[in-house]
Amino acid sequence: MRTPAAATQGSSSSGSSPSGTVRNLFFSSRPQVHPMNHSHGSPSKEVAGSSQPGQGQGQGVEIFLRRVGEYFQTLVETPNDLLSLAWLQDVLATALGCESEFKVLVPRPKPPLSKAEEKIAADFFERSVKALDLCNAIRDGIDQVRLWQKHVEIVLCALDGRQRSLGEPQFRRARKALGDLALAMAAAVDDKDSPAGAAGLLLLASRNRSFGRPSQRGGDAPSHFRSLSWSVSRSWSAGRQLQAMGSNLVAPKSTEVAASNGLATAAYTMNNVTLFALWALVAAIPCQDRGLQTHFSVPRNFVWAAPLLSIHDKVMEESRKRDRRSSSSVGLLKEIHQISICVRHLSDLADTAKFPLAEQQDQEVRKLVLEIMNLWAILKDGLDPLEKQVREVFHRIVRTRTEAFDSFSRPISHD
Amino acid sequence: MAKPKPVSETYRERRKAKSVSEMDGLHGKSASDKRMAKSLSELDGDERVIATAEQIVFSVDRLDTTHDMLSILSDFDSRFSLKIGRLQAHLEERFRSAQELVSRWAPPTANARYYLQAVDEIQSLVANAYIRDDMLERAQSVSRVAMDRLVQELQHSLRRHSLLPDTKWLYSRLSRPEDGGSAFNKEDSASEIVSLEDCQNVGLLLDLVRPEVVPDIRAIAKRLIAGQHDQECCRAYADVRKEFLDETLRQLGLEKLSIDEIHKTSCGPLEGKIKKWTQGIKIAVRVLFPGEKKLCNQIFQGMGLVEEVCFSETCELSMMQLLIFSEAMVISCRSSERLFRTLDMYETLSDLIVDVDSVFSDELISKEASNIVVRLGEAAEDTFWDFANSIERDDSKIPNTWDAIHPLSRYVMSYCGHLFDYSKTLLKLVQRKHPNNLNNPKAYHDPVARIIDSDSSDDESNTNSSLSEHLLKVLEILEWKLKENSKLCKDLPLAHLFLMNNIHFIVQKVKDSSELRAHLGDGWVKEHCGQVRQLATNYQRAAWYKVLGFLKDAGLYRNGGFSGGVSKGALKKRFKRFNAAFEDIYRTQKTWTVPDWQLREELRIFITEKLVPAYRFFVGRYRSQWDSERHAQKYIKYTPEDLENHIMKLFEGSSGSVDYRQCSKSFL
Repeated sequence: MRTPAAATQGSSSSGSSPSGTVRNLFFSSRPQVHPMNHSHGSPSKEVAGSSQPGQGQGQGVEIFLRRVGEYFQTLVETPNDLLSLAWLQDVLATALGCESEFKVLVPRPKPPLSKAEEKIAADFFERSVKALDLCNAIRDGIDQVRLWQKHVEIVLCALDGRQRSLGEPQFRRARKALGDLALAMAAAVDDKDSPAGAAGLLLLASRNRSFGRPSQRGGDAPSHFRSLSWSVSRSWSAGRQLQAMGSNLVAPKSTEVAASNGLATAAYTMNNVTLFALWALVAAIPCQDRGLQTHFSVPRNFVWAAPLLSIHDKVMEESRKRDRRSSSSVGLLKEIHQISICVRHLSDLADTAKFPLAEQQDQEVRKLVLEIMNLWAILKDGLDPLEKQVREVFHRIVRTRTEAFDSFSRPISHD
Repeated sequence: MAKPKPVSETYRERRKAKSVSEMDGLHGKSASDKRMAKSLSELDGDERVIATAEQIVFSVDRLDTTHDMLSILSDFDSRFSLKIGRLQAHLEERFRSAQELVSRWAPPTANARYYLQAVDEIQSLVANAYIRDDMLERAQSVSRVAMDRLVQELQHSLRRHSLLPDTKWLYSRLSRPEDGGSAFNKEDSASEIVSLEDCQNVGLLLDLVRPEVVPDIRAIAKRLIAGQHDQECCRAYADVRKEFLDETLRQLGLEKLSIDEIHKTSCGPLEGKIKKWTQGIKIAVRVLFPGEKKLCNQIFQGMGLVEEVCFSETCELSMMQLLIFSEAMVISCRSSERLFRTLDMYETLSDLIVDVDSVFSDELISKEASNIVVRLGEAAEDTFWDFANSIERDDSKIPNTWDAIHPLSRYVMSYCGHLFDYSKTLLKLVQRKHPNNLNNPKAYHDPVARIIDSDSSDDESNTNSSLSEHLLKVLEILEWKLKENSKLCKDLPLAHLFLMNNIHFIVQKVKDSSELRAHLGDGWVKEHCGQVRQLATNYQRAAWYKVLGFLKDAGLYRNGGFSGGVSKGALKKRFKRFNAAFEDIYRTQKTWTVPDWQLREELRIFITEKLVPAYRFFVGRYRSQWDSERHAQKYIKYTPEDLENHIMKLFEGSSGSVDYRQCSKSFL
């Protein structure tokens, strides 16, 4: 498993070495924020400049909310395809950007916190712990995709278009790899999630597995593939974790906002941002027991609400579309989806192929292989940066918690 | 994102290049080649030789296939074609016998050696330059079947012959014994050094697969790599080995837990899990992973990257899983009860960093691990500095019995005691400079941190003294907290007794520990012994002042002077009151406790010395006031000896002395 930890620190807002300098984050100057590479509506300089520490917190919250709105507007307008790897990177960039903005708001820890603030902070951290597990689950999922990539690699190797002819021996190897791929994908699909999808994949798997293989030994593969899947216990569920993270997440009442000097609104917003980002990742990446039933019941008067909800709707629509085709419960990631379509197509071709291949079939196979190779390359190049971002989200949450413990462990007051 | 198309581009280029060479090759039979071949047969004698030679030279420039040469030569002279025909027949024969072996081979009766030989034969035919196209295709096909079979065979024999290491044996390799009771025992650290030495080699002693089968598996792997099935080989290998590794770790009690789950686990069970973790990660990093590495080496040595890939795919995920647990600990609440467990984890992991580096070539794992070590250290350090504050914040309920040792005293003293088990590590942590100390919010409002930061330097004696300062501060706050607590006690003598018991307990603990004594100094001990004496006096005054007052002469004489003679009525009343007061004290204080027997004894003697002589004197003086002894006994209920016997029964506690070891939160 590849987990860039310290390596990702360079891109963090503090830009510090991973060791020992946690605390001065509170005192770091405003981080340089760049929402995404395409330069749509880069938030104006006056706004960025005016929220230097030292000004009233209420005003800071206003600016924070506006900035979050800008980030989400940029995300809505991203040219990258919904649920593609590049899009996911946009989503994470948005979350990380908002987090940097949020950090500016967090007051220098000066005890005593008011009761209201304390409650908000406790709730915030309760939710953030749940986010950590989701980050790890997504890293698992990325690893899972890497494993699939290895099977795809064998297919590509077997049906390498540079070979003079694609004969039976090449197909035999490819079919076996396709079978293993299908098995690996099936193992990632939780039965609860979509029985049809899982069964279909397993069927595909067994079909390819049985090829030229003594039947008495065919049985042992599925069980061991299952045991490899995840680093959490079998009962853990990404869907439930998301729901737990979002449970009772309601917009603060005006009294709460006033009592906490606006912190309640900011915390509520940041919670939603994190939840949304993780929800999008869980939607795209294979995770144990995925489930997208998380509802975002956000009042429309938040600037960021409309763009967030519109993206949410689009993802849900895509999810429904895919489910109807019962094609994929392995994550809605566009590239995976496309690969699995190609793979399916290729499997069908391999099953019906008569050797030597007819010219047309040969061309078709070569075209498919080329297509798969393109997708494989996109995934290969995109997974590492994505994982780095997930890791970064993880570390940011941890850092914020660590800092908070410093401020919470102060004596509240003693008489 | 950069355009991710390099692979497909190079692929296309290579494909283009390939097709060019194919066109030029004799397989493609280009037009010019055909013309040349045709013209050759029309020539005679020397010309023919020269033309052939020219053709060969021309071919050598462009082509590299022996096949083409042979083709040219067989056109040149029929003797060549005869030879070539014979060669082909020979190859065909080799192919047939190998094919037969491969397709008809059925274990367990057949000998695997012959099968492997046949596979080698097929491979060498596939690589043979003289082989005809149709035979090449057949050979490839047979090779493919054989490869499939070998992948299965590899997986099968690995699964069948893998051994699950015995957990007892694994534990026995560990430095610390399994029961944690003696984990803080000084002797352990000495024995740890010894077993660390041989731990380095334990991984090499471990047989994860029956040694006699290893060469067979290597033989299979060799064929798979030769047949360019390295990916399949890695998958098959890592899948099976990972299963066994997972199972071994599971048997060591290392569960797959999410951070959320760890976060929600209550203190007690978590302690167990942490202990399992510290043992488990040692076994994994020092024994299991090196064992896996050895196995990979035995099987795949000399086969290029496969060795490394197989190892990392088997072990890396497990390593990450182990690190996630420590990550969860770093994140979770930093209560002082966790300090020593956090230090345990810190010590364990920082000890293992070197091994992690040597076992895993993947830099990311090493980085991740050292990153967590740093943060565990920070967590421990923060908790350490925060300890004094945590005592201050302690809001444990008013004790049920005021006479016992307060749980907080036990807790703090236990903390101070254990501190020295970790003093080396702590000093190392405390010594680290805080470049941002000025900006450190902690130093700003933490008196302890302020004191210590003010003179923090790299000098060890300084750090050592900062440890002393820390201890002094901690004990000072404890005393303050105890005094605050004692104010809640309604019964004044009992409040004094409570303080006396607790301060005595603290002093005793300090006296018992040479390190504590050294750090706090004899002056501190002396001062606190004095405090205990003072508290005993306070108690005695508060409890016995009234009773002693009844033994005074004043108020017994008529007309307020000795000359007036003793008032019998007053005397009677006095004795009655004395008896009642004494009995009252006896009744209540018999149930009070002074847990330390020596202190109890001393306190009784102290009371006896105050009370009994005064009583003896008083009785001696006024006994004569009664006409008869019988009369006197009615009022003088107790002889001085009786009093002494009663006093000797004080502070026994209602149910005998309490075994205080059973009732407190502890660090263990």
